[in-house]
Amino acid sequence: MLSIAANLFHSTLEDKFAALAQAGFLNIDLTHSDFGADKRDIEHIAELAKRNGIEISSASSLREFGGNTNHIHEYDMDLARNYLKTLAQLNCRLLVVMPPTIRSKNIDTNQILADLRALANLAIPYRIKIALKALPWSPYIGSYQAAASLCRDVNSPNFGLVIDTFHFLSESEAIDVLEEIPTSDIFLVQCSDFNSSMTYSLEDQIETYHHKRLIPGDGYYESSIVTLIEHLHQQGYRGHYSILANNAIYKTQQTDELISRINSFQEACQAFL
Amino acid sequence: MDQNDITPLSTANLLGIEFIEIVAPSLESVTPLMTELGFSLYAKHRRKNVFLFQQNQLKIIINCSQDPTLEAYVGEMGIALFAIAFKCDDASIAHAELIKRGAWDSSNHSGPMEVNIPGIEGMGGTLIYLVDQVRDDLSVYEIDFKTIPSVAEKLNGSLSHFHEFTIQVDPDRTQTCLTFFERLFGFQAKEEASLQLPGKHAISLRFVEASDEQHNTEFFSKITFKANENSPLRHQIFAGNDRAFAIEVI
Repeated sequence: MLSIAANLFHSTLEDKFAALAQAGFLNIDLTHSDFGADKRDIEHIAELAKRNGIEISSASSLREFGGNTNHIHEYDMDLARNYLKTLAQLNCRLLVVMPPTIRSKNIDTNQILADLRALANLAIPYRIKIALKALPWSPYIGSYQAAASLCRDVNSPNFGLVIDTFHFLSESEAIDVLEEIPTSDIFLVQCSDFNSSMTYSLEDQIETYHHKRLIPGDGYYESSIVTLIEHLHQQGYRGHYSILANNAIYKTQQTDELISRINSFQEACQAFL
Repeated sequence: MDQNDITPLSTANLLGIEFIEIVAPSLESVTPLMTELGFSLYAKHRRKNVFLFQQNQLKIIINCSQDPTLEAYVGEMGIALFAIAFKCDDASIAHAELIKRGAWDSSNHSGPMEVNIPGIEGMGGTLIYLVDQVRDDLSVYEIDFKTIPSVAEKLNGSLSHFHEFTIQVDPDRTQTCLTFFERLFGFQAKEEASLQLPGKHAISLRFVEASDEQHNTEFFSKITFKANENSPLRHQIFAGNDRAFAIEVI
């Protein structure tokens, strides 16, 4: 099933939710930019979701998490608790967590494991799952192998992984890496196209990750993304594929035009959804 | 670090079940059941609508206080098992370790001159308290509760101890909930879908999965008591439409 990250659209929340619901897309993903500082923002999202019959499928919110051995540790855990409470309020059952990206003497890899275990335990009473997303530029969890290894060490049924097609394709990962990951550990697949060539600087990679992701089909890699999806389907993955596109060119495009292109991609991989 | 990290709370030995807390709209709504099971009303809270029933060493707190959280819980669930309290060697150390491992603090926020009982959240908004064991004949009850005269000698009954608590969880959540208790407390698996709780009576915590959406939450769905051999209550199940939990006596 396809879900869609809400930050693709540049209309109001009311308009986004209504348009997506009308087009039959009832699963929406939130990113950290969707969470306002005011609790009324959360109440508003919850109310809109309920009104439109929409499920908030995932929230990619907890960044730079874990490993701090100084006072930042309590800040990390406090932020985690706040996000879990917010997700519980939104009936969202999947929190995406991302590792620290800056090498620091105050970050300890054993502490990262302890913090992820504590996060998994905190999520259990609220029926939330935690999905770890590797970031290519993280010195701590920069590859799928590292993320999968950590997932085995956390060893909790509610702790798994996010596969990001952008990561795969920009790092030229071989598709058989996926075979080393137990399918039951894959909680979410994020799908993004992009226009850059495969060999480019780290700076370009980070810039593309944050600002230039495209709807599959709008960049160079649609067929590779469909191949990845087919491979995951054959491995038994039956979870969500989240369309994650944040390119600024979408700001000037109409919601129904964007939905139409998502529909085209959906048709291209319908057999595997 | 041990991969499975199933480590008991070493410095704050959990010694058994101290009491369980049932929330109800009124004392009258539970008194017939408590009486039928052989419990006597032993003490009343000095300030709140909270009552202590006892039978042998079994203690049940009935909480009918006007707390918005509890009233909402009763409104949704009916009469419900809201908390279990573990007796500890050192409750505050146990509590600190649980928080470090990833538990939510839900310490009982008491008023002036009241006992503050450390606690954590369990499934579905229920609580787990940690109570220091009785020392020097001073118990946690003596501060907050006033004994009802002439009851003390009537605490004998045919139920001897708690045998099992059952929590109903969402489909496919059994392993996750087992992991929660294993990782936080270090409880060991007893059989499939159950854990051994601390104490001398081999009390267990069992999980059953919901087959429908009758309650959109996870909750205690059964309390099982162990009765003396000659107890007339043995082999009975007490269900009730006004209650979220069934009672079984074995």
